[in-house]
Amino acid sequence: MVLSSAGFLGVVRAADEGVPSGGTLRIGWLQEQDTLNPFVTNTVQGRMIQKVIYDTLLMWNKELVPTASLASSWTTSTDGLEWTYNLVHNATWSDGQALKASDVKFTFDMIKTLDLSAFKDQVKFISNVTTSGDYQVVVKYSGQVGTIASDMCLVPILPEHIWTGMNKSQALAATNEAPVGSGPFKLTSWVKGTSVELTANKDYWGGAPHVDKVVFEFYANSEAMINALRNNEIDIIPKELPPTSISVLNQDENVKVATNVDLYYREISINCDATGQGNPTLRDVHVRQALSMAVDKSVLVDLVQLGSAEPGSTIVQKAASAWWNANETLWPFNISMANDLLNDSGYLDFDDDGIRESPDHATEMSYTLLVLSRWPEEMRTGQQIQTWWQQIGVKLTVQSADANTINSYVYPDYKQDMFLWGYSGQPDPNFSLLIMLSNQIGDWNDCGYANASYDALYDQQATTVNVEQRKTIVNQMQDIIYKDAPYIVLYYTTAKGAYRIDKFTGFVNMPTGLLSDVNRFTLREVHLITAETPAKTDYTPWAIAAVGIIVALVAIAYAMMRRGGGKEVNPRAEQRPEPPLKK
Amino acid sequence: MEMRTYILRRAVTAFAVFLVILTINFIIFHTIPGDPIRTLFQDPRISPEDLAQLRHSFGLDKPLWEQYVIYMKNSLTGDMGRSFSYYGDPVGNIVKVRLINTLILVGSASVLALIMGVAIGTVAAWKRNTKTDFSLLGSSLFLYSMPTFWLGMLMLFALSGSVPSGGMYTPGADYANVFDQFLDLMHHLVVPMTVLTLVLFGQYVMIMRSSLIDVLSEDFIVTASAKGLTGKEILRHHAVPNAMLPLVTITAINLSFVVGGAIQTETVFSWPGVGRLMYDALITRDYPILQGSFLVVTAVALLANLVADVTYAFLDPRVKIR
Amino acid sequence: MTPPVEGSEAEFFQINRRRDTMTRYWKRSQKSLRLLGGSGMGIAGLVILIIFLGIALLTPVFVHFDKNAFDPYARFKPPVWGGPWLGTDEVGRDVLAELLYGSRISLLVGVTASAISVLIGGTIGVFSGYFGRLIEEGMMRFTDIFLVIPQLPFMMLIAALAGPNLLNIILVIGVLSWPSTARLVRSQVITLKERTFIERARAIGAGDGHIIRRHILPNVIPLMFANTVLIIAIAILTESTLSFLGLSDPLVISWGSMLHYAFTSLAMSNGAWWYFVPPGFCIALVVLGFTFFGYAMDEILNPKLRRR
Repeated sequence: MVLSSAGFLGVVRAADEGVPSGGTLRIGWLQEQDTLNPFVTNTVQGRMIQKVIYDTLLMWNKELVPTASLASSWTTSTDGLEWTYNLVHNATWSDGQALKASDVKFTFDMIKTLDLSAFKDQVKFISNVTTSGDYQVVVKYSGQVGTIASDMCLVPILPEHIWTGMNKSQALAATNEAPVGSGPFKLTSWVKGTSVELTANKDYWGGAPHVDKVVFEFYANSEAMINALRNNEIDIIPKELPPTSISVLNQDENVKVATNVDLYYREISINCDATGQGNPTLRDVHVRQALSMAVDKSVLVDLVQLGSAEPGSTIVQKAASAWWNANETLWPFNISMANDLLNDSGYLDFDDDGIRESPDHATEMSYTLLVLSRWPEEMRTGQQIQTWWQQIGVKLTVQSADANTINSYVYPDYKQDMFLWGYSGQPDPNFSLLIMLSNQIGDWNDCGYANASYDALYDQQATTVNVEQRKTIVNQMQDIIYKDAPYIVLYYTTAKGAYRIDKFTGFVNMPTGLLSDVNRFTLREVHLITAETPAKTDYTPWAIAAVGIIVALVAIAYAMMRRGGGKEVNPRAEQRPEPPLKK
Repeated sequence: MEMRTYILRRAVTAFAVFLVILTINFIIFHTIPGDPIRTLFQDPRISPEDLAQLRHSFGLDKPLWEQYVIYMKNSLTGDMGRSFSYYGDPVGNIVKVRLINTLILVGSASVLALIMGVAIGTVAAWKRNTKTDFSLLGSSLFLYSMPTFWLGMLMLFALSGSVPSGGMYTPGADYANVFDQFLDLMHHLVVPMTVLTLVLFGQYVMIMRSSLIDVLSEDFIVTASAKGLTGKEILRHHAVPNAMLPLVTITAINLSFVVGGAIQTETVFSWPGVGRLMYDALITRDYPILQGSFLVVTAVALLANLVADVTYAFLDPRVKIR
Repeated sequence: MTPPVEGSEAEFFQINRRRDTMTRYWKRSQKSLRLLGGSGMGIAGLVILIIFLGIALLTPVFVHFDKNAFDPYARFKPPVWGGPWLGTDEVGRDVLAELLYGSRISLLVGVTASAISVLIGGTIGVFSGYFGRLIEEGMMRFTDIFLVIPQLPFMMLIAALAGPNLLNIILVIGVLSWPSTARLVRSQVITLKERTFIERARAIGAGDGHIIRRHILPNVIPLMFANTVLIIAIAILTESTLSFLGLSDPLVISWGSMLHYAFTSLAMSNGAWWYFVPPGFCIALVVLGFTFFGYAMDEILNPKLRRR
């Protein structure tokens, strides 16, 4: 089955007349992007910005289905090995030059030649890219690939005339702080640690955004950010809304809270690497299953996310609804079942100290769980799990560390027992499944899981173009992992955001949240409710207050100095002696 | 010994101290657990060959002593390495901008605290051992005992809604002219500055008071009063200016305390200064930024001490300059 | 005329005299503070300290608190007469119980850290003051370096590297707070050194160790008392700051960590004043108590300071 052209419809908004344009949308966030270099960025924020200043050939629509973007239509050969994209004719780069097919070819060639790891998975099976005229690109694949459409939603098309001639280190080292892109917004400034400013691209081929400017303001703590939203200093908090703020914001009539499923889960990654240095009892699947049965995920959801999350099952994010295996029954939270399983597998408490040992008496079931020091919820999660596992005779020590330390335990020697981590995914399950491949050990595979039949299934689904067939394989893979339990997926998070309703409207609430690396729609569709008359913020009362305070203090100081008693002195005025101080 | 030689000797000492601190910094960096290059490039997709190449380009594969020499050379020329969280951005650039913001906050608060300290200390000294004295000292001490960040939290809570939630300027504001921008800045500066001032002035009150009591018992004051000057005049022209001398020193010595207060205030009020930079870097474990800010702040402290010493030498007539 | 400089510096214009002048001024402030209502200040400080010490010691006997009793749906409950007297925190635990248990950690860290600090500072002070010349010069330079280093940033750096646990916090505070003690002890030792009874002891052949143990230390230790108490106050403040910034052990509850969690869990936005006002107030009160007590004690134990 072949995905054929989808036309312009998802891309250009219809009937723009009557919608007020102008205004500056102010966004609050807690973590800013690490870099603007698309080949290096490792943060959600970086990818978010990247997706609005650049275009991709295809893009996710509001139902997470790939749809037309730069490629207004495309066709596929019957064997699925050749894809032909027809580009829009009026796309331009922000420096004025026209976007042509040569830029697309250049982008793919560059990634492939320089082996840039950020997108190498998306171009891995491309054998050849040719252009036909200024607006047609033909991509040939060396084998069947089931993920092409979603791959094309990920690779930003870069201008040849800017990036040409770079070698690998130059490409990785480029700061790209004056990016030239074709997207709906241009980056005008990035004051590190303070704000990012984007201006609307009025000549955007897909229709200019309604707002003039978008400003991201970086806050040091959630308290300040929530206050800013309530006090109308910002208009929207797209994603990082802390759960404890929701009840407060719900009481504010000018603010609307918007949650949606997110492509993210948190899990316990259990070290099952046969050559690793973690506790060897963890390599037994029965142990892992028993541990899975001793975690009450709904309690964790309440504890950490205040009810706003979904208990976890498979390693494909639930928000990727087309691929997530909904048939998986959850491991029940059942302490006695867990105890039975461990008893039956030979793990008994031989020395009566409350902690079970392995059947050969050699190893205690005593583990260390590494958690990120950065978030206090991690520690609470660990402590809660500690109390549960105590009931099945397992001793858990919770140790907090920063990300780098945790990474140094895991790579390259797999020294950890287990650690709390999280994974974000794509609407396409390919990446989520990839992390369990044996050839990813030392790379994305952080638990050392190795299963040859799983690997074979992965290759199979990657080359299956028929969606139904692919789904069957993907479901099977999820099932294997779920039963083998190298991960205990705790919960799928929801993206929680909030926005003010008194100034702007048109916020798009879709899976992954109000604004994300998948949701490009909010920024393009948001607009003022009524046309704005430029109001000058009146700073005068405050300035007067500030100056007044200073003047008052100085006056007090002066008055106090003058107020001296006349009690000790002789009221005879005479020539003053030279003061010892040099003036 | 001449003033010039004195200044030179003090400067050299200060420089030597700075070198020692740089060395301490280097040692600390190399005791971090984990591979530094992995912190810089956290993306696990990068292949070992790429990592090796990057390690080489960052000079992390050289022997330790060679890295030390390069590090010392770089630090002294202003190259403090590259940030981890701002991926590769030179630390110096980032710290530079923030330092100015901090100086605005700390400078205004210090000046205000000094003024208040002098004023209140003078009153307390003049009315020593009376109820006024005790109440002034008591309240100064109580403010001094409060954790700075807590005071900030209280004020933020109390004033929430009437003052900006944080930051230095209104997000996305368009200013008609520089004056408007200045007003916006003032608007955001008022509360953090007040918090910092309240925390600082207590100590100045104590010092000023003691110093003034000391001065008031000196001979030249007795002479002045015998010559018929009023108490007010004595205070203003003789006693207070002399009593203020120790404050010159204490301001410099106090810098360590002030920096601590600034870090806390900036964190609570999201003020984009060096203090908040350190706090953000702390959360993300961005060690180059942590070290870079630390070095810059120390350098400023050293400089302040040096300036204070020299100023004191100029001002104190009891200090002999041949 | 101002009194002669205590101790001898190698500096030209007796610049460090002003640092000693600082010490004098502080001490004079103490003297006047003492006169605050007779020795009322000392009494007030002592009372505060006894109350908090009592709380710290007796809490485990009377108050039961389960750190892991999480109940997120009972979060931020306001104080109830007879119920949770200070309401609940962000995971539903009793704030009053936390406050009482937190006193133990805050006081423990304060006292232990200052003990370390005073030990280091005292030792350095005695040795540099007694042996003079090169040793003194070296140690004083060393002290100067630590005086110049901005405390909080350095502590942040070390705590970030060393990792978040209680022992590290204690060590970090202790190891970075000694300079003031060292200077104080040194100047006292120098004064003592010139006293006749020391000369007599040397004349009859007493060794350095003996002199230090028998003559110097007993005279120095009482003078250090007030300094120690003040260092405890500062250590408590520092611990609360480090905990607030998230550098302390996440499993340990102290007043500073309560404020950290209050701030990060948006207690302020939720209006939960009962969560973030009491811990800070306790910190201020305890610090004030130690300060009052320290000044008062100094007056009593240090008759030489009573001047004019």
